[in-house]
Amino acid sequence: MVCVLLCFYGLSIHAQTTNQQVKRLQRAIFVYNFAQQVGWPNQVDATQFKIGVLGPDRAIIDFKSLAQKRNINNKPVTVVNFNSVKDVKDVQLLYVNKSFNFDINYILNKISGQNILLVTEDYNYHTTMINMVNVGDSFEYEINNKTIDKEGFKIANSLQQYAISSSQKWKDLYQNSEADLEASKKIEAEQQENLVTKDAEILSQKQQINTQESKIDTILNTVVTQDKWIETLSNQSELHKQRFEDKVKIEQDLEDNIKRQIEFIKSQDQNIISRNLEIQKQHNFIQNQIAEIETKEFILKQKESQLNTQKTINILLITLISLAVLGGILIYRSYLSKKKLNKKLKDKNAAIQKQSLELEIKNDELEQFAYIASHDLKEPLITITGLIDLLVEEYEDKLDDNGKMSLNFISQSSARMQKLIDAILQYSRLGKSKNTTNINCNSVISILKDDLKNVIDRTESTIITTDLPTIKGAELELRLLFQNLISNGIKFTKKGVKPIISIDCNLQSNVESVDYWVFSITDNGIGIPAKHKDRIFSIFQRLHSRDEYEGTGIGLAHCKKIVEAHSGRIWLDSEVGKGTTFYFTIPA
Amino acid sequence: MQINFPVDFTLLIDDDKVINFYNEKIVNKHDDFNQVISVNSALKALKYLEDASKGLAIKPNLIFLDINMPAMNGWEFIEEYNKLDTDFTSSIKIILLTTSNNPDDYKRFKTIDLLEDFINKPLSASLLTNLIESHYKQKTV
Repeated sequence: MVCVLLCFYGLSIHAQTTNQQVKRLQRAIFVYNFAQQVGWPNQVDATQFKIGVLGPDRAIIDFKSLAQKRNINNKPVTVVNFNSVKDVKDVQLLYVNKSFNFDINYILNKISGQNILLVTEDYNYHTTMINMVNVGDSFEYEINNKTIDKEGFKIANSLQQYAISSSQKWKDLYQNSEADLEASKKIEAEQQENLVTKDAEILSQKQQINTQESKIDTILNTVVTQDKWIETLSNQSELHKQRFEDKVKIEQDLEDNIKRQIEFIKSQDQNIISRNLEIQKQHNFIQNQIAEIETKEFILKQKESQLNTQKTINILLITLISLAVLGGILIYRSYLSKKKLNKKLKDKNAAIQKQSLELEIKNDELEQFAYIASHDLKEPLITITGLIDLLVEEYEDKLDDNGKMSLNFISQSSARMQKLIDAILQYSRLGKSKNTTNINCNSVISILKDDLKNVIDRTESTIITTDLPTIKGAELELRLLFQNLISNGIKFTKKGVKPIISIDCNLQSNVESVDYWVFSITDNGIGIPAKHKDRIFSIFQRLHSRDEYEGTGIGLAHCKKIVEAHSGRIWLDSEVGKGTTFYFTIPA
Repeated sequence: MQINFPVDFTLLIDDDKVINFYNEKIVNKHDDFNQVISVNSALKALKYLEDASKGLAIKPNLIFLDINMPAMNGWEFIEEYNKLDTDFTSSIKIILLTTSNNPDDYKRFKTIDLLEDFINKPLSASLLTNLIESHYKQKTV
């Protein structure tokens, strides 16, 4: 940039001295410099830089001559001429001078969009893109950024810096240039005069140049010294090289280090890989375990469900068991109470058995007593009667009637006592027989008729029987029963009345529908008063004196005992003077 | 006095002296009986029989035996009697003479073959006659 400015500066100086020709060159240089300082949007595409000149301008010659020496943006420059605005195309830069009177707006309109930089001369301020103006021997320029930006050009900052930035300045310049032109014309004359003096100055300057050459020599010397300096510098660079080698070594070391580290890293990698493998294994193991856990969980769940079911079963079982236990307790309690009751019952039974045993013993004792009593009582009685018989037999002649009668009474009393004792003995033994057999009552009656034949014949009694049943009982006792009742019927009749005894039997059933036989023995005897109905069944109860009707008074007591021993009942119906009917029952 | 008595010698066994006195009288009065002797206990009777078996006393043809006696009763006497020599005892008849009309006693009597008869007291001439009829007349016939 400095270089460019120097160039301008230099040129401006030349313009002052070489007049019109210099100015034309300057114009071309300005334009080339503009081109150099502007960036085109599609600059790279083009192989050459084209400059167009509008109108029959002599500047074209200047541009072409400069194109021989300079490239723009490293491209060869060609210069073309356009006679009218509408011909303008295929150029990067168009140069227009106002002196040819082209309408600037028309030009701008025409070149719009074609990437053409418009450089004008002497146009009004900010009407073109880059506008040049003659200022003395040189040029000034202004840049219309508006139109430049519109076409996409990029202006270098240096170019911008030296451009004129206001229209006022522009006008001033314009006027100054007018004035300058006048002044310069005057100065030109003065300069013509000064030229002679200048030639002399040139001579002196030539001399100065010589001195300058010598100065150049000295400068060359300094260059040599500088070469030497450079040599030392190269030596220094050797040192640097060695240092560099050292550094390389260090770097190699570092590399080795790095390699080792890399190896270490690799081993670590392998380690990591193995670890990874291990981790993988462990992972697998864990997964297996997870699977196992899952299966176990499943099993657990199953077990849990099993447990639950078991629980419910257990609960059920527990309730069942508790129920069973409760039941068991109840049963046990009832069993206990039963046991207690049973025990009581047993005790009572035992007591009863004991009592019955005692009773049996007592009965046996009683029987034994009765038997022994009767036996022991009978013996002396028998002896008495026997002795009385002997006495009567041997001493009858020696006794008077009173003595004989006394002996007779003694004998009778003894005999009666014997009968009583026998009756008691018999009574005590009744109901003891346990030999129950089937007894045909008809045959019992017929046997009795034979036994009582004497009595029946003597009293002319009649015994009538219907067909009697076969019953269960003790034969001897039943025979005694019938015998007693028949005997009574025969015995208790009025004198002169022939006894008629009728025996009957029929089957009846009681409320509990248990069948039993009812026997009836009816006589035509003296009858029994109603008030004695119960009394006559007691032992030794007599209703009549022995003188009227003999007997021990024990017969009906026997009958009652026999009937009751056969689980029966005995009673009577009687009408005094007409007869009596005895009834007794025997279970069928 | 008849020379040939169906029952030559009678032994009475009863603990009651009065009964023995009475029975001796009855037996003596009867024509079919010759001699009679009485003992008042079964033990004495056994002693007498042992003596008789040795020839020290007269051997009885008939024994009237009471059942109810102190020390040794009739049944116990029978047991001891069975131990005697059968050659000696076979010709002796034993008749139970008792006041007992206890059927148990009668049943027991039936079980013992050696006992000839079961008679209730008091003894009388008619009883003795019956006895001779049933136990001795057949033999003599």
